[in-house]
Amino acid sequence: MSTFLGLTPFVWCVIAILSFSLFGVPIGLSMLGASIFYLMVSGQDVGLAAEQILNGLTNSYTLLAIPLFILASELMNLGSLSDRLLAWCNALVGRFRGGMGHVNVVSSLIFSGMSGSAVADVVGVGKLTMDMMTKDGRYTKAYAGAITAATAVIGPIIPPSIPLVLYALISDTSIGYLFAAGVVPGLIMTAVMMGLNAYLAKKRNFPVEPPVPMREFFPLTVKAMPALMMPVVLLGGIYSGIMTPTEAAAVAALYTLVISIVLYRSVTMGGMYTSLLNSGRQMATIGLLIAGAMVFNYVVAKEEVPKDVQAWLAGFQLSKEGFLLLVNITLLILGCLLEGGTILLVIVPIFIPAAQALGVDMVHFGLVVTINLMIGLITPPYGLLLFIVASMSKQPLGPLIKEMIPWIVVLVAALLVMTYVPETVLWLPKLLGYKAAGG
Amino acid sequence: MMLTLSGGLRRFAEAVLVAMMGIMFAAFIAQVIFRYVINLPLAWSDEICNFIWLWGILWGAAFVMRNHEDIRFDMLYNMLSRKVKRILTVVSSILIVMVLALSLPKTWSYISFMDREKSPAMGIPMSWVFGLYLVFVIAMCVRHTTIAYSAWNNQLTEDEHSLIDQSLLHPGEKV
Repeated sequence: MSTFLGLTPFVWCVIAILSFSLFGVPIGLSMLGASIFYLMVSGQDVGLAAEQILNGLTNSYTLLAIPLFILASELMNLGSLSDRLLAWCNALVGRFRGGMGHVNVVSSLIFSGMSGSAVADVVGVGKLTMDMMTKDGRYTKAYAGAITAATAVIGPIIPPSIPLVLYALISDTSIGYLFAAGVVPGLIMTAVMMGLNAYLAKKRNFPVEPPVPMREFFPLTVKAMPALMMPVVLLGGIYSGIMTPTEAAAVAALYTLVISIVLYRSVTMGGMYTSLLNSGRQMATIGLLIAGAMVFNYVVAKEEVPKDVQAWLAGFQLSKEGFLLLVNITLLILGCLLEGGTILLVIVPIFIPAAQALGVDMVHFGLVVTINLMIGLITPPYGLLLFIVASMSKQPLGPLIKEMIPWIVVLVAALLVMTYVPETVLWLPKLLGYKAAGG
Repeated sequence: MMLTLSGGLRRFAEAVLVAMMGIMFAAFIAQVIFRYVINLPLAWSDEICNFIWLWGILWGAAFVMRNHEDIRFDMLYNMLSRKVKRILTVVSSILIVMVLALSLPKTWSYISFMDREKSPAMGIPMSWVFGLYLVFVIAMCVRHTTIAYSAWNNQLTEDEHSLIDQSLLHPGEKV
């Protein structure tokens, strides 16, 4: 192999990527720059970088679901949909001790059925519930912030989910089955978080909301019904085989727009403009990351890194369980340091051949990886949601991180259950006809 | 004068992105309606959406997003002193500009080579579809040159507003 100043081109590539990104260049651009540098020092055609990006982005129909899911969640935050759903959740679970905490969990569950991004959940409904909790000082800002960040993690587990679309891209797995696989884990996470809230509420004597009379419950349900039906429309469309997930994403966005305009009459031209602009910005952000990863993954594949990793791991004679534990620990640590999308697009592909060789089911692996990365969003020091929540509610990070710890603990426990009891993940996809690896 | 000009340009860039998103959404809805309601699948709508996805990313990344809004690995970076940040920003920006600029000739030849290929449904030369990538690379070179220049003059990109409150990262320091 040719070397440049004594180092192989791939080593140069890694050095370049690390120095660019550590010195503040956006990660997508760092990967692009480092890969171009790799092509230069290895004497390959530099035009390959453009070719990888341009063909990669225009040949992937699946990826188009991403801007549409982003748009759907933007539109949802725009209308008064959130208010109606919150009123309904309050009527449902507000009457219990720590009621607003339960409302927070349940509303995140419902919203996650409509948006594909944890950040959208925190900025939209998360902000509303956080404000309601801290109004009159009934809950501390730190507790409200912690529960809001923790529950937003459910967002990308319950379909639709942008991380799962990205995983489908790197692993060649069916989006439909991945989405189905997210349902039960999402419900398990909801259950453990409601359990933790109930426990803390009892221990700290959190307030109860005035119970909403049962006769008001029905009209509230009717009002919230069109919004509650959204996941059904979306998943029904995909699983009945009528629509591709990408088309279902477009229908989801249209459905949100129509109910916001027709039923709730809450959409203005200005609001529409802002939603489209915000969606475009998010699309550009994630798109630049995907573009960078496409070139970098070309380099990684060319250098046969996944094969080397597989051979290296094979040397340890790991069992399937041991391998999954290793992946979990590695990703939890990386999740504390790196942003989730980067790990998903760059690190996870390296593990996939090894996982396949060990007979790990790819849908199960996808969910384990995604849950892991979502927990990474709330683990200090680099938890994106922690920063966003702290910035939104104007509170210091220290107390917030302290309140965060029990939530991280229960989520990691849930992750371990889902890792070692694959049926929790695979039950629903199998019911829908998925053939899992290794029976 | 400069401020209003750049503000106007940014608003124009944003309006273009909004139009792209709107067209993409409309094309998708048209596709779903034509395929399932009228049973007359459209050939061009898939292509439009695909191209706008590419253009929106390149356009948005080049002209709408600012450097500090992109996803960065800034944990270590944020811990550094302002002086070190400035030096590293100057160095890394100059390096990225060099690498990108050096890739331009080969990128140009790849894109002009794609002139022979036409998109299957609409018959647009792929060199046109892909051409925005060159604009993106040039815009990135210009941006990072500006960033290097500003950092030299004690202005860092994260001094502007961002979703994450910078004062959280440096509780003691005035930002």
